[in-house]
Order: sequence, then structure tokens, then C-alpha cells
Amino acid sequence: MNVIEATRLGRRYWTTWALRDCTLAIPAGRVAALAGPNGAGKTTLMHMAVGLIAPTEGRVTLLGGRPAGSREALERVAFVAQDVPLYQHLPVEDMVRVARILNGRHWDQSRAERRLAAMDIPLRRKVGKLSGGQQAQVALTIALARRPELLVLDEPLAPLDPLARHEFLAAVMETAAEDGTSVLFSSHVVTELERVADYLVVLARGRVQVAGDVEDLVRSHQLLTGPAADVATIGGRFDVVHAQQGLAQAHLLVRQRTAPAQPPEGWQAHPVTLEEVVLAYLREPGASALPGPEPVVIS
Amino acid sequence: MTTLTSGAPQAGRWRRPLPAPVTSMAWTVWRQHRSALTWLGAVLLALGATMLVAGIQLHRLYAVEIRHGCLGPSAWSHVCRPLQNTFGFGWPQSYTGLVTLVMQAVPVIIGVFLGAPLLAREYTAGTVRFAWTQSIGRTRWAVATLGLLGAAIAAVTCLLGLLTQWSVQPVAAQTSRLADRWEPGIFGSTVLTAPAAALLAFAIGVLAGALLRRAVAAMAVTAACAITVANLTYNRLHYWLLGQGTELTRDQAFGAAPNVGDLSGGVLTIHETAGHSTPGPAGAWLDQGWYTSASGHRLGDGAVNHLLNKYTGTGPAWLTRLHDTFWVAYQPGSRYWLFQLILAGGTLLAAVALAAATIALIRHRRA
Repeated sequence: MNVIEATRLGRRYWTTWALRDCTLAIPAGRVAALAGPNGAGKTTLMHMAVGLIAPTEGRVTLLGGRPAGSREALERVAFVAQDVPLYQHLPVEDMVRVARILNGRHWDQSRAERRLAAMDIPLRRKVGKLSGGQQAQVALTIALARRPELLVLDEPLAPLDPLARHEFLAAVMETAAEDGTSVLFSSHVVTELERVADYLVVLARGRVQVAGDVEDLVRSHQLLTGPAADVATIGGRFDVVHAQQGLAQAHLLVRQRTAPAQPPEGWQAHPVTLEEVVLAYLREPGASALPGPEPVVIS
Repeated sequence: MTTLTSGAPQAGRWRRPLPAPVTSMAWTVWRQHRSALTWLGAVLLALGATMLVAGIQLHRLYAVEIRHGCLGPSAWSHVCRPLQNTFGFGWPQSYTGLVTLVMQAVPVIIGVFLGAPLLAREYTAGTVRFAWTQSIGRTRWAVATLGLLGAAIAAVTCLLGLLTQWSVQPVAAQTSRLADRWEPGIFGSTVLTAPAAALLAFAIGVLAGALLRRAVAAMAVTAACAITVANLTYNRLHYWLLGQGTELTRDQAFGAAPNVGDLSGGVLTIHETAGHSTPGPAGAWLDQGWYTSASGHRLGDGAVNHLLNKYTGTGPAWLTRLHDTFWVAYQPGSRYWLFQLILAGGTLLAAVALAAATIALIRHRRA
């Protein structure tokens, strides 16, 4: 089952396409990262997935074909929007009660209580008076108390300090491991991705640039280092994502569809980190790694 | 360990089972809009209390008048005169004027301070992204929120309408034109029309908030729209509506001394209730009047002015002598509640249409 399936999905604001021709399938049971620079269309994609906005073209379904925004999708998906919009003037306990009422029977009260107690969050304090990290934890608590099959988090780490980031990610990972909840989170902070994500989607300029299993992505790319003079001849033989050339030496981040090829004479091959792969693609918005190691269904 | 001990008593308080969905949604709406609802409730409560106190006093004075027979034509006793003066020129007059004005303002206040910020604040704070992604779904969320607030508004303004009608009743009985039940101020503030007007203004506010997504801008637009709607209702729609399907009658006595109305094309605009000072079918709303000659033709402005200048104050005999007839188009008193239903129903329909438009907007628009 795919938790999110987008087919030629696009959204236009007036004359500008925020996202276009986005075909994507994120398999279930993954912690998927949605990376890309600001303005790449991450939020637009997420808002269409959770049904907040309607696509201009194409379609997006969740959890095995349930239309985005439909009742059956809403009941199974928890979304924490960017900047954690909660009712700032409500005390935490009232905020949680509102969430409980808005979710009816799809609510695990003891889980909410346990989490808030464990986080030492003062229940009678107004949400707006909590620290950024605490607000994010309240939002996450509300999302997790819904026991979602899919948890969608839009830039959850942006407003957090390093310690709060760590705690937040730990909580997300724990849930993913315990309940088998699928997670999709967006981030423009590349360094955090590798530690938590096992599936990666890179968006750039409103298009999907990379989509695939993290391990496969890392395995299928390597960094070739060799004399700059050879670049022209080598370039044709490899799928070069990004080339960095000095006077004497050149570094080519290359992609291979099959098993790692032997580096040409005079060149050295190095394994790459996920961060290097992502950065290479972000530097070259024209390059793409699609549909990924496992064929994505394109209809 | 500290978290456990501090968490334990809270858990007990929290684990109370939730009441029925309607009650818990009502709690949600109340909790979210508590400050607006509190002060609005306080203002309306003060208004209601004022009407109650004034009404009791007016009814007490009225009872004294009845006891002393002050309402009859020959009641110029030393007990009656001060009472009649009070009703005719004193505070009951100011009270009636004020209460009709305030009742016209109530819907505007509700629309501006409760309706307009309702969705606009959710948009500016970004909390629509929270509210619309919960299991309840945005449509049911909107229907529940608007429905519950609408019911509360209807209940409160219904009560205020009832208080208005009841408290000005003694003033109306003393021939005060202002307090008459057909007059726009009172007609639009009854147990039926007051809640309808309030719901319409509320719906205008909510829609403006959904369209503009800025509380202050939505409040300004709502104020302008609600005042315009009130203005049109009281000054135009009211008179137009009461002029529909009128009955005709001849009235020699009235025709001899028409003390009200503008004359245009030979037609006098009367717009007054028949009863004490004005002739005509008792309790009816008099819309228009005109003269016809013996040959059945309607007299023009010039002829009417000539006749009135010549004969006013000489008694009704002249009309008969000239074989002229004065016709009155009127709305029988028995149709009062029918027209109440028509005005309230039409207003309510407009409110429901705007609410439906808002919900359609919420369903199809981006967050």
C-alpha cells in the first residue's frame, strides 16, 4: 500500500505553479522526508495531501486510494502544519479537549495525558505562553492521540532549538516504530534527514526531483574524484548529477542504475552520504533521479 | 517521579467521559469564543434588564391609568393628566425611541463583533489548518459552529424582541405613533423579526470574514453592509411590503382631514395605523389614500390641494356635498402576524443563503 499517491498533481496560484506534474508514491511504513529549498512546493504538496487545498490538476490519494480530504482520509491522517497553529489563547488542557471533541472516537486520551505528563507541560498554561518546543510537543501530542495511520508534519523542526529537535524527532521515531505509523515530514534542513528518514523525496521548483529509498539512493550514487582534464570524456559515460571542478581536480557525483561501476583509470570512487546526494540535486535543479530504485506507478 | 505524582490527579479530571456530541461541540464553540460571547452577552443582558425594568414601570403606570379610566375621552382628571403627559411627552417616548434604535443596532453589533471575526481570526492565526484537518471534517465543523452560534443568537434576540413588544405596549396604547406595532422600529424588533435580522447580520459577518480573512476589514465591511441592510429594511422594504395586497375602503371622515402623508400624483402616502387619532379600520395599517370625483376619476395634485386648502377644518360634509370619495388602501390588522412571518421568513432565508454560501466557500476554498 502507498500512503500517498500523487498523479500528475499540480497547483497554480494565479499564474504561478507552486507544484506541477508531481507523480509520486510513498510506500507505507516509512519515515519519508520531503526535502527542497523554500518555495519548492513542499507545503503545497502537503496541503493537497491532507485536503486543505484542492489540486488545480491531477489527483492525490492517501492510504490505498482514499481521496485526500475525504472523511475516511481525515480520520486516518494527522497533520501538524507549519508554525504549529494551535489556539494560542486556550490553556493546554482546553486545547487538548477541543482536539478530543473534534476527533470524537478517533482519540486516545490516555496517550495524550501520558505524553503531556512525560513532557512536563503545564496543563493550565496558555498554549501561546509555552516555549516553541513545548508548543510543538503539544501539537505532536494531539496528532499522536489521534492514532493516525499517517502522520504529516510540515517543517516541524524549523522553530525548534537543537535539544527540542532531538526530542521531537525521537518522539516521531518512537511512534513510527511502535505503531507502524507512516510519517511524512518536510524540512529544508538537510542534515537531519539522514538520521530519521528511510525514504526521500526532493522537490525543486515545483517538481519532484528525487524520490526513493534512502539506502538505495545512497548506494546508487558515488563521488568520483580525478583529473579535471578528463571530465569531458568521463562525463559521457556516467550519469553526472553534479560536477565540481577545480584547476587540477574534479569531483563528480554520479548516479548508476545498476551495480557500482569501476571508476575509470586515474579516478577514485568514494561512497556518499545522503546529505551529499541531496545537496548535489539541489544544486542541479535540472537533474533528476526518478522514479527511484523501485518503479513508481505512473498512470 | 514528579511527573507521575503531578499527572495523577489531572488524569482523573481529564478522563471524564465526553458528553453528547452537540454538548461537547457547544463547549468547544463557547471555549473558543468565550471573551466575545461574554461581553456581548453582558451588553445584551444589560439591554434586556433595562427593558424589563422600564416595561414593569410602564405597565404599572398603565394599570393606574386604566384603574382611573384615563383612556376614555373624558378623562381629564387630576390623576390622569400627569400620567397622560408622561406617556405623551415624558420618558416613555424617549424610551420607545431609544429602544427601537438600539434594537436596530443589536444585529449590527452581533454581525460585527461575533460574525466577522469568527472565521477571519481562524484564517489570520492559521488555525484553520488545525481545525480543518481533524476527523470531524471542515464542513461538519463549520455547520456545527455556525449552527450553535446561530441558535444562541436566535434565542437571545427572540427574548429581546419579546421584551421590546411587551415593554412598549402601554406606550402604543396611548396613541404614540412611534410605539405602534406596525411602525418599522417595532415591526422589525418583534419576537420573529428581531432574531431574523440578527441572524442575517451574523451571516453577513461570517461571510465577510471568510472572504476577506482579516478581522478588522471584515468588521468594517460587515458594519457597512449590516447598516445598509437595516436601513433598507426599515425605510424601504417595510413600506413596500406593507403596500402589497392591500384592501380598499372609503373613508369620508379621514378624507376630509388627512393630517399625514406626502401627496404625489394625487396619491397620499399615509403610512400610519388607523385607530385612535386616525380614522380607518381599527388596527389596520393605512398605506395610501386618494380622491375620486363623482365620475370616478382620480383627482390630481392640484385639485386635491385646492380642496384641502379650502375645506380643511370644516368637517366631512364637503366631500359628500361635492360627491367626491376618499379611498384608503390598507392592510387589515388581522394580517399583522402574516406580514411578520413574511418579513422574518424572508430575512431568515437570506441569512440561510449567506450561511450556505459561506459553507460552500469553506468546502471549496484553500485554507
